[in-house]
Amino acid sequence: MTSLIHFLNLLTAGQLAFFTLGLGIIEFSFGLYEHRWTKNERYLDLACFLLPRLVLRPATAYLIFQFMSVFFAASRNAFQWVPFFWGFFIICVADDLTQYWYHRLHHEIPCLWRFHRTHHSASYMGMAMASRQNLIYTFFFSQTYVISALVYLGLGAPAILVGSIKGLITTLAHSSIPWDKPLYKYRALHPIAWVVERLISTPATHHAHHAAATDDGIGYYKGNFGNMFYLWDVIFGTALITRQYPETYGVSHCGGDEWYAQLLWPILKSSVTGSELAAGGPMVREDS
Amino acid sequence: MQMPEHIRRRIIRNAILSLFIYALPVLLMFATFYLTGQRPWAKH
Repeated sequence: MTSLIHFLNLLTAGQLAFFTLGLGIIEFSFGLYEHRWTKNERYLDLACFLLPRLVLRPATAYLIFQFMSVFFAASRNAFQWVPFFWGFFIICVADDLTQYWYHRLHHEIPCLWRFHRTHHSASYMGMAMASRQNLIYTFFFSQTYVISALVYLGLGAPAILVGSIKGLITTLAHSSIPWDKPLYKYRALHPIAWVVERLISTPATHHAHHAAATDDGIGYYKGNFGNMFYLWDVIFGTALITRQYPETYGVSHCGGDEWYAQLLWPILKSSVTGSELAAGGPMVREDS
Repeated sequence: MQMPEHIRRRIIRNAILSLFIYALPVLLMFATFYLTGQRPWAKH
């Protein structure tokens, strides 16, 4: 049973990777990156897309499974009795709320910011940058640990469904295709928009989180932390809903850091003087 | 660089609320079992 769950998990992850690739090709065909996908950005985005999927996540999941087998041998499938619906509900909260905190703390605790900065250094939105993260941020990514532990405890099937839905929502929230725009444009759809934009991450709310400016009433990188559910931002007072999209993305002082420094800081450092990723660089540099 | 005091206080307040939110689906599940008389763990 556990092998079947692992197989389904890999299959779902594979389908999501192909969906991301397909959407990325559509974005690229429509010129949505506007020549901003330079060689340095391409290397970083491709490394961040491939390394976690092919190496880091499978290896981490395997090690967690081995750890659980040794130290929690009696707990294997201990929660298999939990009905599917309740398992789904419990995992939705456990997984996504944990990721909300993981993400939020990387913004609000100064010493953690540089591990998440790579995700915000892109001056464009889209599939190319959706997986873009420092490898240490990816290694400690809460979802890998929560899902692996839940599969071991017997909640594999609902965990895979949650993972699939979450992957789809977060991928579409990063897309440069504003699928939510019609919801704001047509008056008849406004009630649906009101519910959707408060429940899940949309391009409008998540793009605002990636905005380069914060003083235009649209950009809001100090909030909108939700991944699958935006509801956490509404509950915790970190939400800003404007139904508009920022003009520019990224962080104004993030320029020129080598792709390998962004991927592997603090092991590798940037050669850009004054950069947060340079040797002796500031922990948090104020936006210029 | 230090975290601003109002951010620190908001994190603590929200973290306490999060504990309740984490527990909510589990509590609702057992409340449902109690009200309907279900004991799914007994079948396994």
